[in-house]
Amino acid sequence: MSYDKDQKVINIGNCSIGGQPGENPLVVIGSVFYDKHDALLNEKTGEFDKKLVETELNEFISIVEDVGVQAIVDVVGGYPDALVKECEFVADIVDVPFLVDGLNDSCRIPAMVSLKEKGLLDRAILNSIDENTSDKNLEILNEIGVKNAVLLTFGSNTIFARQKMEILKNKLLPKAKKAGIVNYIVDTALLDITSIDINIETSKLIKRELGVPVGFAPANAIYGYKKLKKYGVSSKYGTIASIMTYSVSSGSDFVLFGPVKYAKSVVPSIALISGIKSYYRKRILKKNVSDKVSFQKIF
Amino acid sequence: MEDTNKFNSITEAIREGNSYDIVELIQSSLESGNDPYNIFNAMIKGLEECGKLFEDREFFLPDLMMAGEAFTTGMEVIEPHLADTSIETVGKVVLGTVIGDVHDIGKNLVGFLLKSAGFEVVDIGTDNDTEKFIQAVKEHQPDVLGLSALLTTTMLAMEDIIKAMNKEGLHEKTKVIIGGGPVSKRFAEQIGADAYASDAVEGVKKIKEMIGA
Repeated sequence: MSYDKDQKVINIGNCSIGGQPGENPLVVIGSVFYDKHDALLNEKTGEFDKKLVETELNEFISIVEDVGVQAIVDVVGGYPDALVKECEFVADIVDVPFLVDGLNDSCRIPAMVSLKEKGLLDRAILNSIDENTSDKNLEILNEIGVKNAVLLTFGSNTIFARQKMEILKNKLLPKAKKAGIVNYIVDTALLDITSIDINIETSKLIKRELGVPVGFAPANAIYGYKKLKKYGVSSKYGTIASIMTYSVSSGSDFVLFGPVKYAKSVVPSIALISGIKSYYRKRILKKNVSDKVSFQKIF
Repeated sequence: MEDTNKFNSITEAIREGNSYDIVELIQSSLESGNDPYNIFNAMIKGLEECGKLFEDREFFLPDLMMAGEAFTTGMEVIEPHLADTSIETVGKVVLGTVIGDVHDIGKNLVGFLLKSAGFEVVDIGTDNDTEKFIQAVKEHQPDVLGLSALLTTTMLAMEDIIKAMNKEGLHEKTKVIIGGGPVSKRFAEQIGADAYASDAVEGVKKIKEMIGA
């Protein structure tokens, strides 16, 4: 329930990610402008239904604040200009950090350059640096002063926890250093729903040996689960919530849960896990928790 | 007389993705005087069994990857011994991921499974522009070109590749199959691909069907 290794807390905007289990409220990350998002009208030009996005984001943040967890918005985009427009809009609506989730480096690196010009880098988190991020792109990130990034432990033949750890230590951390990234969180890269325990094992290994914030995106697999819709809507949301809570109860500091519109189905259950962990740390282990932890909100 | 126990162990090691023991198992089998071609067949059988278990939903993506890894490790040992052995191929396939996309897990799995099915596979890697695909088709004259993409933006390049193949008159001889997360049967029909597969095992089946293997 507590690691011997000192645990790093990454502060980005108003979000404190990581630390010992229960030290900080868990971080929920919801996505906008994903493929088939109702609000996305033209993914190339970044034309979208502003009212719908604003409504979804406001509801997301409202729930987060009510139940006492922390939030990041995952802004997905396939084209740099569109991605920048989307990020600007999100940054205007909410005051939480946001992932700059371009589908490849050709999209996200130019987007980071534009966000620098618009003065939005402090809350922007590059998603992501991986083993294929080129030296040229790392230099660009360094030049423009990007400090926040997700490190993705994804590789062609990378299956096991130990392999993901090797990629992190030998490739991603050096790349982060080259890019000047000081605030990094690690995405352990989900392969499929069946192998989620590999991500759990990886999370524990990274926390045990490196003490940095970890998480992953069950959202990348659960929405394709064959039996998700078989037993009706309540079963669907129960299944989604269960896999998200499984990931955080087993050691993740953050979780990408999918579309923000599912916040009401997912976030309260994650808040419960967050509160349970914080209570155990504070009242049973008699160790400190951050000021952001509020039992009154959660319970 | 050849040692079937050793062959069974090799098949099991590949099927179970045992990269640690496969080298010693193959070396031991060679030292026992077993025919390298039969050892190779035992490895192929392991991949086939893995593929069947995947179809039966006993094995999943990590299992295919582990088997592929064990197969690759084993091939480094056995391949030099196969140099003089002519292995009849049932067809030739060029595989590649499209431009802007560096995902290759699915493509690599298709490659392993095709080799196990007797295909000659030319893998041109990831992030390939249209010109690279056209050059590869002209050079290798495959029966099938397999295109892989995992992003909604990069999959659009598949249409450009097919158009270029039509323009160069290459599509008559070389059929095209596409695959990857965002790709669909409908998309395949829209862009003029000959086939679509939702996973590596289905991909191999479709390729076999396309060339009548």
